[in-house]
Amino acid sequence: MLETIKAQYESGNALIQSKNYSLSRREAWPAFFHDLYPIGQEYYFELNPYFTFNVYRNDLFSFAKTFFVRDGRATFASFLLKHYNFIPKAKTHFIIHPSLAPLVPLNYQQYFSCWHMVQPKKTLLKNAKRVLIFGILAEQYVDSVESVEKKLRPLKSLDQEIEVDVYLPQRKDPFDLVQRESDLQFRLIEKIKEVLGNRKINVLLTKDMMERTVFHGCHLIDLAHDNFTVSDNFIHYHVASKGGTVENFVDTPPENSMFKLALSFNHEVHISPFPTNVESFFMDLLFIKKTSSVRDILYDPAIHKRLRN
Amino acid sequence: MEKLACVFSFQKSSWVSCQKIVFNLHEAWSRNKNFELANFNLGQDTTLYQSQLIAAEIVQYEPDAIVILDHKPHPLHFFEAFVSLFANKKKPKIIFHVFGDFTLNYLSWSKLAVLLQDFEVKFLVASDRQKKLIDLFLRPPMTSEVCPFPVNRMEFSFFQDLRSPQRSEWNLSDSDIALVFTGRLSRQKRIHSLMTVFAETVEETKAKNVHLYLYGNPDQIADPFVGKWESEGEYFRKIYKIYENFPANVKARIHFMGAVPNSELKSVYHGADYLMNLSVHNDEDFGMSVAEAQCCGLPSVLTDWGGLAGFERTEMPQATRFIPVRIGIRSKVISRRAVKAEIIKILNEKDSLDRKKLSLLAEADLSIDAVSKKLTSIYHGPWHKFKNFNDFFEQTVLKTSFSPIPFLTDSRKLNSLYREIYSSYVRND
Repeated sequence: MLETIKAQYESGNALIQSKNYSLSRREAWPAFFHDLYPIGQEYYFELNPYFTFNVYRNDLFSFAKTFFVRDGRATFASFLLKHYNFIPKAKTHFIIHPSLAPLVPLNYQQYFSCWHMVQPKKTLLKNAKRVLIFGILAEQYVDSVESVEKKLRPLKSLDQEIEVDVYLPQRKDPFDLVQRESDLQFRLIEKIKEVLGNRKINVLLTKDMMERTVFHGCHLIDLAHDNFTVSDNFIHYHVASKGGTVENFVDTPPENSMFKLALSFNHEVHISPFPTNVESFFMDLLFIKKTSSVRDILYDPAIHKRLRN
Repeated sequence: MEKLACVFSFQKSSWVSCQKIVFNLHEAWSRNKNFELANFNLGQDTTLYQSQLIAAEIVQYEPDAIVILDHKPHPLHFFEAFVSLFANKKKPKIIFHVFGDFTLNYLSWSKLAVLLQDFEVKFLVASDRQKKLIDLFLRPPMTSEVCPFPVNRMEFSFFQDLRSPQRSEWNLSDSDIALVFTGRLSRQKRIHSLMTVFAETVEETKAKNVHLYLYGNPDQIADPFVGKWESEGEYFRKIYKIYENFPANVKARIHFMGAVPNSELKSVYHGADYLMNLSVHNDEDFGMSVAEAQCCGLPSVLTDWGGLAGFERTEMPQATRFIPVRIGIRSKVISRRAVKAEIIKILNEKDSLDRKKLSLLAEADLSIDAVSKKLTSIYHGPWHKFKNFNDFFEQTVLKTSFSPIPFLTDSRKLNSLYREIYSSYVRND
């Protein structure tokens, strides 16, 4: 496994590279990919970071020796359920976020390793010069107003002088079949105003956020309730690679780290073996799929509920 | 009193050096008491309708001249609105501050040219080499005029007391040598070459007292004109992989400092011994970081390419050392041997340069006051009616507008069009 990872590191070939642009066929990517902007933005490193749902032809899974899975729970579960028989045949080694490990079928664990984002020099929230609050204003991302309030609670004790930037792009729930009006956005913004009180708030537009080149002293709080939508979030990469601290990243590598790679001057990814003693609930998902009347499991509320629990 | 309508984006450009340039240019225009300035916000998010409103305001203001200070957004839509509203009033003169991105926007300039017919126009460029490039496209007697981008003395000037604290921060002694690069860590800035040559030199000379400080974040601009594109993060991985393969004694001498606020760069320039800039960027019309470093009295090693060549100080030739550049078969080629030779010369240097003198020489050319005088002289100089760009420009528009790689042959070699345009950026004597 480690040899495979090292060989992939040496070759550096990745689907996302510009030289492979035509192979990626972006026009064939699912429409919901646009609802994942900017968290699903592409970036490169040698382990072939990609979303499974953007692979439109099975042989592309074998394009590189490793497939660094950026998916969240919803699309990863969908991938496993749809490609169950293909996985052993894919000539690649999958690297997933540790929280996705319980989704992997027990007999497939040898095809998977785990990745961990590590930021050795994190600025603690209490020492931050600025705070950046980020969240996609969609229920599948933040879950609930209560969840957001819990995330923002530590801000109440911060120095009043510390400025807060807020970047909250509005999107519809990416994996929702029912088009309905949501009052989440209104309630969420009211809650953020309530928690932050009289503190100075700068509202950032996507352009401001993406063009900012320095995040030194900035602490990012991501309002995502979990990694339901994506596990490897581009905003985390963007902030960390420009000097900011990402709350979701750990500051020490896992003890069983077997390979590491710098993603910027400020953060790195560590690879560890698939965790032992993981209880898989893949069979539960399979049962729901077999008994469900929803045509595409990616949009099945019963699967969503099981994944979030 | 001349009435000038200054058109620029009130919102800061995403291009860090351009943020300063636009602000400083505006300051330079405003320092002439014979000019009455009115500012108009042509932002990057300005809609067509808003462009029309701005154009209407300017028509009402009845300026003697319109000054386009910014590079973004391209003023095409603004002039479409302006010309349609303008009717039969007295035509204002038009001044364009042309930036390095002229060559990225041929089609927009081509459409704009139709609207500018019979207006008195001046194209101001920031360096002699950029003038050569722009003049390739102008129809005589019209030529562009050189006016460097100004440096704010309040931000960048010589102040000896800053050197010691910066050296302490870097943990350097007096005998140590600090080479510094500031700017985007970009393929066309040849950061990979700089690191590699530095490493080779350290290995060869066994020098223990030389350090390379790289300030800035990696970008993904790559080199599209020579058919090279990169994904986000790709150039970082390229240079970091090179770095990781260096021996430990070299790694200890290369320092990635990340991007820092503009306010910290003054100390960096004072703490450093030489600025290293090996850029062969296709938009390298000037070199704001070099201008600022010189105003702090920092000598430099620069590629003899584009606007960087303009930083030669004839009164002080040792202040700027040039690395030869040629346009190769597939890309721009810098002489790595010359870079190594220059680093070795720096290592063996006994006498230090008179930094205050260099700073004063640079300020005489580049300070806001100096540029203000230059602008006044240009404004009161002869004007020509714009007829159109020349035939070569039209050919270039045709060739560049319909191909993502207009400068490459089928075998991906640089073609004659590229050589014709960019021979302006290299030394031709």
